[in-house]
This record gives sequence, C-alpha cells and structure tokens, in this order.
Amino acid sequence: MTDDAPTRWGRVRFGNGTVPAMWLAAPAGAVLAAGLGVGAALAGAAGPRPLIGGAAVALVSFAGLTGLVWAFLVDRRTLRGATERPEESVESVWFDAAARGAFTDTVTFAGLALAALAVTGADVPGIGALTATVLVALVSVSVRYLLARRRG
Amino acid sequence: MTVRNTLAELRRGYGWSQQRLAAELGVTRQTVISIEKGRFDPSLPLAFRLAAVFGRAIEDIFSPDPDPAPGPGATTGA
Repeated sequence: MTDDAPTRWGRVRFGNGTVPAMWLAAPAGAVLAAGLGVGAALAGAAGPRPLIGGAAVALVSFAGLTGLVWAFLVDRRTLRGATERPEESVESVWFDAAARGAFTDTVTFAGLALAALAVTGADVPGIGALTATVLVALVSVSVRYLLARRRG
Repeated sequence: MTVRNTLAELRRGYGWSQQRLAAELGVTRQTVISIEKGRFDPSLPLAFRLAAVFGRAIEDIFSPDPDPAPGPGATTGA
C-alpha cells in the first residue's frame, strides 16, 4: 500500500498528509480522557471512590474524545470510498442548507424560550437550557438534511 | 432561472453508469442523479469538468429552461 492510498480511518490533514489520523487521535483521546477523569475526581464529581469513578469517567469518555480529535484531524479525502471533491457534491449543498436553516431555528427557539422565561419568571437551570439548545440545533439540521435528501 | 440538461442522454450514449460518471467527476453518484433530474445545478467548475469529460461545450449540455416545471427549484452548487 502506498502512503497516499485511501484507508479506513484516513490520514491527517496537515504536514505531508502521510500520518494515519488514528495514530494521533487515539493517544490524544486517551490523554484528554485521562484529564477528564482526573478533573472529575478532583472536582468531587466522580462519586465516593474518586479513583474508580475517575477511571470510569476516563474509560467512558475515551471513545467519544478520540472520535472528536479524529474528526478534527482527518483529511476526509483520504478515507476509503471518499469522493475526490466532496465540496462539489449535492450532499454538501444539502448540509450547508440544513446548517443555515438550523441556525435560524436555534436562534428562533432561543428567543422564544427567553421570552417565555421572561414572562413566566420560571427558573431554568443553565445545563438544561444549553442541552435543549444543542438538541434543537442537532434535530433541526438532521431533519432538514433528511428532507433535502428525500427531495433529491 | 432554471436550467435543463442533456446529461442523462449523453451518459447513456457513452454506455456509462451513473457511478462511472460520478467517479470521473470526483463527486457522489447522488450528485449525478440530482443533476440528471434537474434538481441540482452544478457549480461552474463541475459544469466545466462535465463538459470536458464528454468533449462538449457547456452550452451543449446545459441550457436555460424556457418552460420550467412548477414546484421547488433546483439547489445550486455554486
């Protein structure tokens, strides 16, 4: 296999582009997960047994953090089965349109929710409000993309 | 303004599948399907590559549609 052949996990987008993305993403994900576990233990958020709780936090978050780092590092054109010019494909146009619509939806939702809270005087925890905002954005972009795909 | 094209006829004339044409252009098969159905107007660089692949001028493949069908317009890749 040559250095520029597509692979399952692709290669990094910087440098000369020959380093497999997972070679950097997995160690970086492990370091970040360990940091999160230590942080949870030090903050007292890891339960009555901080060592075990912190290790559990690190273990559970490892895959997600590795995936995030990989998504940031990978050059998508080096993935097996990827198209040469994804930015000119119709899926890219669908996603851009879905993201634009989701932005409008999210701002509208946040504005309406803010107005409702201001009128009713209800006290909503910050974590709940932020979670709802993120969920609205994700659902909106997903639904809009699926509708665009169905229209073809 | 909507645009119609003769891409499907050209492709069939070459005996190519949509997948083959997509590979020649470096885009997804769905992109070829959407262009052929008139639901997606390709970007100018992609239109130039299409013309080059078939050895035609762009205006031989794409032309303004004087009688557009009602309904949602095509999305554009520009």
